[in-house]
Amino acid sequence: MMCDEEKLAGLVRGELGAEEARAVEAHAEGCAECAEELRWLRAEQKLFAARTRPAVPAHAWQGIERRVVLAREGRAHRRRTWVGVGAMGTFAAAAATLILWVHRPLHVAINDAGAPAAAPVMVAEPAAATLDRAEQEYSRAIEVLDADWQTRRGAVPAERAKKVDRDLSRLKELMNENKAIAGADVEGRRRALRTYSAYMRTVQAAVLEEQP
Amino acid sequence: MSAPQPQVVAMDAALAARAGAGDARAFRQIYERHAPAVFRFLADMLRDGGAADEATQETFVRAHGRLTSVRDGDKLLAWLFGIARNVALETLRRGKRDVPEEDAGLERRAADAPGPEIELLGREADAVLGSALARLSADRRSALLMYMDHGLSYGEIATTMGWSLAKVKIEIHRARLVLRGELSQYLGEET
Repeated sequence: MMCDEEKLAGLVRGELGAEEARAVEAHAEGCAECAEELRWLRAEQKLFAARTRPAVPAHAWQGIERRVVLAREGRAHRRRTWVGVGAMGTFAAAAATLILWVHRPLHVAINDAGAPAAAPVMVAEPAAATLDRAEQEYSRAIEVLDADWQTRRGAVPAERAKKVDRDLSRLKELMNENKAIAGADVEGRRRALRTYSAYMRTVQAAVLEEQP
Repeated sequence: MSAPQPQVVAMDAALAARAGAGDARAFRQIYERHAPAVFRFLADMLRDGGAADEATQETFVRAHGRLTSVRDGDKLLAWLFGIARNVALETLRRGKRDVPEEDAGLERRAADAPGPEIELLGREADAVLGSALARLSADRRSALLMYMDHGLSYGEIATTMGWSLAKVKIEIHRARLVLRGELSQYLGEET
């Protein structure tokens, strides 16, 4: 057998089988270097074994229990906040697009004295492009809220979940119908977007209702 | 120190699964089984009873939130040490009170030492070991404690520390040289 520090450590730690342990010990008896290493390893083991064992403070468990509850409450709060800020943020972005770009097509220039300038200035972005953008943002918000609803649906009473599903399904049909009817008509598209908004509010209410 | 029995590992895995599913009693059992080792590890890492108490609580609070990430076959104590080590490092960084002494030259000192025949009382062992641990960097100290005091294998330490097996062996070897240097000094004073 060759000198092997790991085997010597394994012997001291009781990790070797009987036969291997005998072989390592036999080798160490005839090898001054390994015998010395073995003496050191045993001394180290003795050193660790001789230490005093401090007791865990008695109050530690109560501290852990208290902090686990606080952490759980924190997680629930963050989850609610995520729905509130994350999905609602997307929702708000979509709504803001409508408010800023669809419902306020005019920009009134203000002069240095704070009074309206003589002539209102048209916003440069064309209505179709702003409606496209609003629709895209509403669609993204709906995706986020839909995914949220799917993950939380299992925790909602079956009857309530079915009703939400029915409502959402009907609203989605309306969204598609209104969109198809509107075609390129700006006013029609604006009406269709209100159906998107209704869909979002319904799914969002269902998700928030489920929060603990 | 020998490796844990398979039934101990299986019991830990079952407890972790139950605790991860929300069983508070299973989590309490995990605490009762492993808190003494975690506390001792943290007391050695931080060298401060109050800080070790606080760090033990933090370790178990974090563990509670991550129980579902314990995989089948994971040794629970090694997994807890992984969390405890991070908590200890954060505590040390905040306090900036872990400045290991230079350990150069210890190899020579250990080699020149008298034989390791030694009888230590508990307090002497604490003092000698405390002095040796103070000379080690936090990571080297972690590895040595996991290996020598808590019986983790090189492989388990590698997983816990995120090191290669070779690095674990080198770090423990170097830590041992420091330990032997300290023991030699103690023996030199005794004789």
